Amino acid sequence: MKKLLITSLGLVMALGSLSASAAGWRTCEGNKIKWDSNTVTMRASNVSFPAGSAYGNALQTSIDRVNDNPSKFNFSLVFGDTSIGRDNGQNETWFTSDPDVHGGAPARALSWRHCYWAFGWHYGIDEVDVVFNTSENYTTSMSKTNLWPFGGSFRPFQTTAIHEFGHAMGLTHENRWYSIMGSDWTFIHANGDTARSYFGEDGAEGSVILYGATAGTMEDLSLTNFKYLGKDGEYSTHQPTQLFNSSNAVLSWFTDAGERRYRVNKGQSVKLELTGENNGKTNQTVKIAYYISTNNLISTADRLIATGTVTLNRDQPATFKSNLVIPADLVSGTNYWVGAIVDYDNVLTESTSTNNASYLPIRVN
Amino acid sequence: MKKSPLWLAVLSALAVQSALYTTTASAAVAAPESTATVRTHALLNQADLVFTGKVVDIQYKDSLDGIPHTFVTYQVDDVISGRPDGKQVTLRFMGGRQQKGEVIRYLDVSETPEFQTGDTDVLFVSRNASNICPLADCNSGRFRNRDGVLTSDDGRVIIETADRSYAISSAVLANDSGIKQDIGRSINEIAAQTREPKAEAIPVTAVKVEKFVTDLKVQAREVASTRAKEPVFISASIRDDFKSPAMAPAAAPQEGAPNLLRRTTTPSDFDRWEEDAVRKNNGNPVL
Repeated sequence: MKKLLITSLGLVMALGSLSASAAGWRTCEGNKIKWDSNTVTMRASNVSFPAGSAYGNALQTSIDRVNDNPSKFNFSLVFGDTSIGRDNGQNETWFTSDPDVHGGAPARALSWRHCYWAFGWHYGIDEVDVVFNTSENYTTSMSKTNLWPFGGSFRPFQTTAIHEFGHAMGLTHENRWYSIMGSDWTFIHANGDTARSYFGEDGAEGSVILYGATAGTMEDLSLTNFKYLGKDGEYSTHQPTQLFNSSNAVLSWFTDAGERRYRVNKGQSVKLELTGENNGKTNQTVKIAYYISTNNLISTADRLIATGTVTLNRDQPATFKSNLVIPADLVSGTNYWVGAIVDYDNVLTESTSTNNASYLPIRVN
Repeated sequence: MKKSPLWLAVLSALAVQSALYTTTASAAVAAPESTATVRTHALLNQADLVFTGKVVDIQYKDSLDGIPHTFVTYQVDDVISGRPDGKQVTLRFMGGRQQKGEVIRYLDVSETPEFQTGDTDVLFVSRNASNICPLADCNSGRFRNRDGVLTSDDGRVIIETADRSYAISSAVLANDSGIKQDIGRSINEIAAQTREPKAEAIPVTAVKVEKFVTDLKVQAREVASTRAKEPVFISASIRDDFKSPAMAPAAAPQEGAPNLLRRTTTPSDFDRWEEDAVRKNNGNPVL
């Protein structure tokens, strides 16, 4: 049985207070190019995405994750499309094996829009087709060990699909922040052995800018152990968050099961870096708790080592460091995981709480 | 979607796995961070024609099945590899502007470059009038000449690394300011709520276009020696009727990922209980 050791540091962090908003979109004479309806139907090819198949289910999950946004917009996904066509008035998605079509890209979005003046400006999205490349090393599995960002050999299909449907919504690429509209495969959440794809704060912000906030309630906070690294052309690149000593130097680490495991000393003061996101409708100030765990799953059943509060505004992701002390009674030569849970007292009603926790692996010297 | 071909696969590996390299590199001042290797041999192998030139014309035409295409014509300056059919080369890209009466529409095809009259480039052309983007690895097959400095399609400076290979740096040369001329694809500006990245100083290891072309010609001779006689490269003609590639749906790829669990520690009874409890709690870690 784990011993609870509560140390309250009274941490208060206000994050995401930058005034600039995230996201990008196309315009027509200053007007945002978007759908003229808040609900758009996407049709899945019966050849590529049979209903109930692994890829069909992965596609549905991806659409669901895009729809988990605080705007009025959502996609409805229909299976069983038997006649794929371009410019046929239908938004469709399918796989192609034709190199003349995919040209080596893992996926392409073919977006039709209009912008012209005729007794006033006319503008909007007309149709979007999303085509995936059969040659890309996709997997529908979200088991971390399979996935590129965790040292695996496969590209998560869900993150790519969410990125493409972000385009279908009207969003462009993003290279300024940690965003699904950047390098999608490293925009991912993990707590435990399974990773989770999601739309994220930047996508949420973009959806609200284009379509307005939902009239109802929609709140969601999340923590992830990835952060913004830099730019690769139009795309943001991301890297794992890090563990620092009290002088802000990155602690030494080694690769363990595809993730960085940091070497710490008993009683050492460290700074845990995580990225917090507000994927919901309104700014939130909630409690945050920090834990030591004997596995990579952080829960409130783990050993509590600190608490605080955090303010997450919905504009852009916030990567932050928290001052913690590694307990002095941990066992040398043993693997642990240090992590956090946002809204650990469940005060906020969220669309999902699965993404409220994340971690970094450590090894006690 | 961002692809991960040969040279971009290096990027994802660097970003995720090589924290130490990234940290060290980003702390350097003199040399900008190198992000990806430019594999010129692979591009030369893929290309039907490699040349330097300047965009002199951009026009649009629909295919027989009503899909707009963009015809980009270059005045060829220097041929590096292959045999063009004239002093001008016209490339055909899927996407572009379509006007029917007063209605103007655009087809944007993601991951394809945009062109302006006056652009001067080094191009690796592949499967013209066949592929929706007739450049080797699409965006990867285009290098820009920015006042003699070589950049990628998106303006990042190409640098020479310690081992004398080429890499795409993180330094960005700002786009030319001033009046936009004919735009190859998107006539509308992309609006972002913050400004474009600021232009950085040109890195000391930046590659001049002249040097790049000279190196390519040497490499091209090695590639040509392994090929049969090269056919003449045929430009696309806007006068010809054509069909766009058929987009027949294919079955999704076979799931290749094994269902393995890679654990570094043996779960304790508590760990197993915790995993089960969180699973029963719909993944919510607040138990």
